[in-house]
Amino acid sequence: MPYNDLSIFGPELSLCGLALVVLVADLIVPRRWRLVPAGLAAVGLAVPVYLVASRWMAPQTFEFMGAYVIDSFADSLKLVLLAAAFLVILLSVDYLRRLERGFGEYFALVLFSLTGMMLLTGAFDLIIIYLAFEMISLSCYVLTGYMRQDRKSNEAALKYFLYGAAASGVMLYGISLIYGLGGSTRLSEIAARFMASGPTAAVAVQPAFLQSTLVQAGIPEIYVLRLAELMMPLAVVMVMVGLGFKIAMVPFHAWAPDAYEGAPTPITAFLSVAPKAAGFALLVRLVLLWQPLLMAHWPALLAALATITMFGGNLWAIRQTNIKRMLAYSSIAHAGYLLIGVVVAASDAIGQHGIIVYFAAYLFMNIGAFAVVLLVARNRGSEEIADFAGMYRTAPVFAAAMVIFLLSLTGIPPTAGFVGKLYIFGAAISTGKWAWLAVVGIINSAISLYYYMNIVRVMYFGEPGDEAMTIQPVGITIVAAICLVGTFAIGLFPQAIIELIQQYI
Amino acid sequence: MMLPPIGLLHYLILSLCLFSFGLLAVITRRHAIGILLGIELMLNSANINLVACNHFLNPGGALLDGQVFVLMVIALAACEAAVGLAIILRFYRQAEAADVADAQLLKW
Repeated sequence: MPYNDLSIFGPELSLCGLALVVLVADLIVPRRWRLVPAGLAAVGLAVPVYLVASRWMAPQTFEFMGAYVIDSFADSLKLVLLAAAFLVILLSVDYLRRLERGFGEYFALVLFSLTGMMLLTGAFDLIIIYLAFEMISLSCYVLTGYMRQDRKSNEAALKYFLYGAAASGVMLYGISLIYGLGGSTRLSEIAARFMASGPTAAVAVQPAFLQSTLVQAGIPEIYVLRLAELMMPLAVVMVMVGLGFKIAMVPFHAWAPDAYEGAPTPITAFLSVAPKAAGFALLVRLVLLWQPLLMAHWPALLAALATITMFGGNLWAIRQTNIKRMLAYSSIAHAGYLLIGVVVAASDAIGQHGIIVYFAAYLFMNIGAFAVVLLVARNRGSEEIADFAGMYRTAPVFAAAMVIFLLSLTGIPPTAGFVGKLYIFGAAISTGKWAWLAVVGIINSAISLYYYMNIVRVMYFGEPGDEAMTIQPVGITIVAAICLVGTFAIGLFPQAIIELIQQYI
Repeated sequence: MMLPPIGLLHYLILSLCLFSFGLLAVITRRHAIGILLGIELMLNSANINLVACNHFLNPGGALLDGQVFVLMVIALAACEAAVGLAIILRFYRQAEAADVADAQLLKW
């Protein structure tokens, strides 16, 4: 029995332990030392980072009888997740000053949801997938409603919870059907069983006696076969509902703008990057593993979803007046660009590389933008785009940083966003078949230029309404600096990261 | 008339009915607690599927994946209800109603 190697779970276990330490520390430490839990959480992240980095070149390994996998794809997304959590913890310290209590729980919840996300990137079993999913969701619902006195925060949590729980219910039903059809909870065994039942594949071996019952009941066999063929695609579509909810893909995105606007701003930054990375990791795994046994139209369906996600996100973003809401729609659009990577990944590993490069870029530019939003909100007390007016005079350095982040989000060189988009669109073009998706992506980037540059216009040509933004908390400044460096580093030296990825994945 | 013995199909139809009722409740109910109940129905319909499939796929009971899965789902459903009720309660205190139509602060 290969139970002997718990070390494969090292990063997740250490994160869980860290969350518990933060919880306890919050109880012991006097209330005025509120930096202690935050500091512990931020510094403690070094342990899982080290554990992931130390096995960087390890070949693909399965553990727990094939229920969990580590490979470079999962590990690189884990590093993205850990970096996102680190930046979000730094952003949170100042934001939480209003809180009377519950300082430690906040960071513990961030770490617990992070544990769920890390598990999801390596999940290879239906049970682990569902558990990790719920671990992420439940922590995120609570974090969204963490500002208990704020009506918006409560309403956001309510909407997020109701949408999320319904989506996970649909997904669980799909999972139960997949279990029934495949006869196992292991993704690989399900795939193997479908493969064994012949090239038409969609008819599983297992429901043989489901068929015999139906035939006994007097239903012609041909209809029974049709029914059995339809069940697997139906079940997978149900799972896609849950996944689509997590990555905020367009027909299932309705929660995102509301939850993003109402949630505490650092949590908005977290939600816009981390659960998406985990969701995409699982999506890519499912597409790669099950693609041959689903419908032939599977990539085409994803391509259609990518198209409506890009257009939906970008077109809705144009009319927003609240910056958090605008960034929510923009993050929906970015999920659309990433879906192009998934479509390509179905036939070519270059799609996977593209997803990792894009997430590395997206991490810095998006969290950086949220850092500037936090600074403005701290000084002006609200998050309307109008509050940015004349920022080039009231906070010149941060205004310049915001311009860089927005250019990067649009995808203009020499920033990280350009490299990410170039890689994903380039991958789409190189497949030939999906070149039209790249064209759609470029059209959408042009649309997004309009609303991103609107903020630049407000910052540089709007009349400064108030005095200078004198409150510049340390955490926000550090995060903005890190993100600026990251955005330029990936933008100016893309070769380094691309070579690293191509070599090992 | 001889009825066929109760088999997997009957359980699947039962779970499908439960799931449909749950989904219907989620879509049509306006009260947050009503929606939560619908969600619980959906989770339990999946549980019926899992238990029934496990029983009929492994007649000897050699593998218990499905049964174990159900235990996990039951535990998670309890957690979800706890978190959900807390969120609904918080909303109720401020809005003085738990009707989703009252959640109008955040729009478009």
